[in-house]
Amino acid sequence: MIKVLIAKPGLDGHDRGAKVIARALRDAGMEVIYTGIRQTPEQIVQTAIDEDVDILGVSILSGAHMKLVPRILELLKEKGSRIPVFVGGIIPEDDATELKRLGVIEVYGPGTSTSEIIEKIKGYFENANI
Amino acid sequence: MQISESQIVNGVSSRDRKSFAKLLSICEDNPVMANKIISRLQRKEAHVVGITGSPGVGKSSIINALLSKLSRRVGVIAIDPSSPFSGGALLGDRIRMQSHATDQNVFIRSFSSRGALGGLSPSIFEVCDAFETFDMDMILIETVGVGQSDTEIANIADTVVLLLSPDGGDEIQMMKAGIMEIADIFVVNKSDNPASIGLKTKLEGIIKFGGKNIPVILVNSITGDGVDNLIKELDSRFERIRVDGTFASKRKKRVFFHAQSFLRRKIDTIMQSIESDETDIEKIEKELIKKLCS
Amino acid sequence: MDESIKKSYEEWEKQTESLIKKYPEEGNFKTTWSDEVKRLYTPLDVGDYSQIGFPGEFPYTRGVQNTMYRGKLWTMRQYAGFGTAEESNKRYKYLLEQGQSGLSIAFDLPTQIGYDSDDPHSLGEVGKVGVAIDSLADMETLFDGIPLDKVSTSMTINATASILLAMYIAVGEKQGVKRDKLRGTIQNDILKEYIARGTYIYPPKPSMRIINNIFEFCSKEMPLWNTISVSGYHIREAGANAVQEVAFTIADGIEYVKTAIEAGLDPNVFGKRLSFFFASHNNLLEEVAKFRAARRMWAKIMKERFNVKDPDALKLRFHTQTSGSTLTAQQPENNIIRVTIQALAAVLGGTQSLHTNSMDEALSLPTEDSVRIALRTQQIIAYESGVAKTVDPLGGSYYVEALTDEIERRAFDYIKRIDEIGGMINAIESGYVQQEISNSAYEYQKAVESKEQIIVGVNDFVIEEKNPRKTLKIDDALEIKQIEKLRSMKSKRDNDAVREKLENLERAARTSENLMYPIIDAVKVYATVGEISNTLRKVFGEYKESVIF
Repeated sequence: MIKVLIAKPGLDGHDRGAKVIARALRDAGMEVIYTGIRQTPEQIVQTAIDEDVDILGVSILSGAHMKLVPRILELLKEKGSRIPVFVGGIIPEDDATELKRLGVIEVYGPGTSTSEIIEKIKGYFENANI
Repeated sequence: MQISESQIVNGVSSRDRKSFAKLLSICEDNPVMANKIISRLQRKEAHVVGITGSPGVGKSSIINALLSKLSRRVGVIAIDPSSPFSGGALLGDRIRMQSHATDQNVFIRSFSSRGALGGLSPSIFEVCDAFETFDMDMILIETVGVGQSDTEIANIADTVVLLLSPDGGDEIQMMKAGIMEIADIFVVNKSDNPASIGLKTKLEGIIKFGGKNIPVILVNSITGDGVDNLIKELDSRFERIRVDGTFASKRKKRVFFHAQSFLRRKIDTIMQSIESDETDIEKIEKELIKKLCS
Repeated sequence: MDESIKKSYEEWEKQTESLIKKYPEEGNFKTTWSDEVKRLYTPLDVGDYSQIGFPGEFPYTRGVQNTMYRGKLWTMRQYAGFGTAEESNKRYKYLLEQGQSGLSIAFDLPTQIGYDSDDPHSLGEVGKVGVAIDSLADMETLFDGIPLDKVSTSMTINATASILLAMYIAVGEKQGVKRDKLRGTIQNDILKEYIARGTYIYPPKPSMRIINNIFEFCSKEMPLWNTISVSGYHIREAGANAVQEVAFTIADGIEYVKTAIEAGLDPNVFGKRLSFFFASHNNLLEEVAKFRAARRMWAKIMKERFNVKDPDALKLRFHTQTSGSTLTAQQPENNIIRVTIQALAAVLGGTQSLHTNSMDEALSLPTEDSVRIALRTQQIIAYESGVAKTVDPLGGSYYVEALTDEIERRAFDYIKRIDEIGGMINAIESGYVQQEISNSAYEYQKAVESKEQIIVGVNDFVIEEKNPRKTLKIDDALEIKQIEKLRSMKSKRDNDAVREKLENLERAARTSENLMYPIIDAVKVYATVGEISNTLRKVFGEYKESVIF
């Protein structure tokens, strides 16, 4: 059973994407925890660790991703966690490249299909098990 | 990535959250191993409180309000239903408790019911025991909240709190259906709604008629009004049941229910491994017994 | 006549069915809310003409004015603004010099949610989607040199609307402009924040009490101020379909009229100060029908439910914005065409004002070039397309009239359901509305993934794209600067006075007093948006979203 945390850092309330993804992952047989909106990086990281999730998905549309995502990665590292992180939202190309360089496994822009994300997650764990 | 049993035992003993989080995952996936690890750890008898009531009545909110006012170590077990179609689950109870996510005295964990009926999760006994190894003073269990079938909580909780709201029309109906029998404390939420006082009076009438003595407490889970009274009631009950023997007998029964749950899970697992095109019940039974004994 | 049309229509259908055997139809023949779309619409699908009526007359299906755009074109109003108060001030002055008479102000998220710039929640958000306002000092800078008796100011602010309005009043007073001379609008629509947009603070009931206080205060002291803009835009963007957008927005509107009546206001007067805000999406004819249906429904509701007599208070006036959520990051130039269709729908639907989105919004904040193209789109519709030459040019189209009727019927079903639940506040608290929208959003996503719904450039007609485009970014130094400004302001103000005014506000919040007066007192001594909001958080608690997917 793959356990996923879908988190919404920052203050924007645009949770349509986060909720659609959460639901699609559920329908793909995963256990999905959703944090709700307005979460600080500290809350997200502690939740990911306490819930012992396999993967963390971060949805952000306010434009604050270059502040918030690196902070999340830093906190995970500080706490000795290796939970993989993917990001969804309006992320310009060069920012996406930078986030991947910092350790984000994938950045999904607007228009990404949920099946693409599901396949990617499933594939990630199949490969990790080999 | 695998960590050993000893690492978990050492981690949990030194209150390491990551180790404890792993232990809870083991409870879900491998009860045999979980029970073994738990038996190696020191346990503290915490007050196990079940919070039940219909969907939307404010179970997560009341837990959030309790967490804000309880200055002690509290564990939260939040259970949501699994999807009968995909087996997956959306675990959203945490949303209302997230202000306590970074509180070092609080540990919240979400569970899927993984197909179990009765409002709990298959691993609930292991999980509850595990929380008692993490030095908790109180353990709050939020049931799925589907109503009448949510009675299993009485097998594990020392105290069952039934939450009601003046907005829900089916409350009295639900009580007639039997969930009332398992409640030790009634809580009427949304005390800012004038109808809550009417509901409290109605409940007190029903309780009196039934010849019982169960407290009814008015709270507002959003502002926290009345939550102090609930805490007082919980504490005085805990003190009382420890003296009058209720606690000891509940704990004794819990061991039996734990065994029952553990064996059911074992049988379920075996049944899943038996070819589903087998139609002869006797053959299935023999196969099951063979596998059980091996 | 109907009989002969019916006969001919049946014959035509028969003939067509036989043709279909040879040349089958293929495609998605459903409305966006999943009703069947018929092959052909005829006079048989159009109801009573009294439901269509005449422009400027009840039930206002064809428009709220007799002459519509022949008298005056819609207002082309582009919402903008980000960064610090200084930068925004420069921008506003420039716009005013260019002949613009109204300002439209966007605030950053911390200001909207009642956090100061130095709050941990504000990390990375300061000045991002609008201007950062911590205290009256920032507001003074924002309007420095702008005479408030000469401009009309529209503020997109909801949960903290009372505080920002109080600051606006205080700036006016410093300029010597009395509050009864101030003109403008606050969005102030908190219900859609719970439903869709997410910038709520307190639970619905205390939030509605604050709105009640604003209504009452403005009716006495600020007769020129528009106290609410009931917004369906964000509901639609969150995934609602056209029917749900109309239904839930109008249901919110009903709740606000009830609140105004409770505050002692006459709906005949209040109805004139009320305006709406809708989205416009790609399905051109559905959208046109949606605007027409909304107008007709509101007129009926005001007349029948609230017994309004004054015709001006029956008219649904609305602002429209094209849909940000329909814009694609893939082949962004295609968005210009989407925006054109959407803007056209708004104009054909009779909007009073319009904001057109920029083509690069799915990528990041818009660049200057794309903002200009967006404005030009409106101008081409206004001056070249010819659609503004006559009133309600699609009125009488069999399909559009049938769609208008259908949207109205389905939206009234929703309103009935919401009435049964006990009104919109209960419907929101129980999660009903959010669940309906979430279901639509999920269904839509599934339709896109199964290609039942084609999105050009996304799930069909895809090309390999390279070369990331140039996008505009906001300097992070701004956040640090704003925090420094806030700290220095706090060290200079009279902190005893701040404490006293906040205590007074807390006391008032525990009674039923009108909160506008203690809030004005607090902002005048430079209490911050965060301090005032926290004072009220203590009394009212904070809303936590319903667990709905």
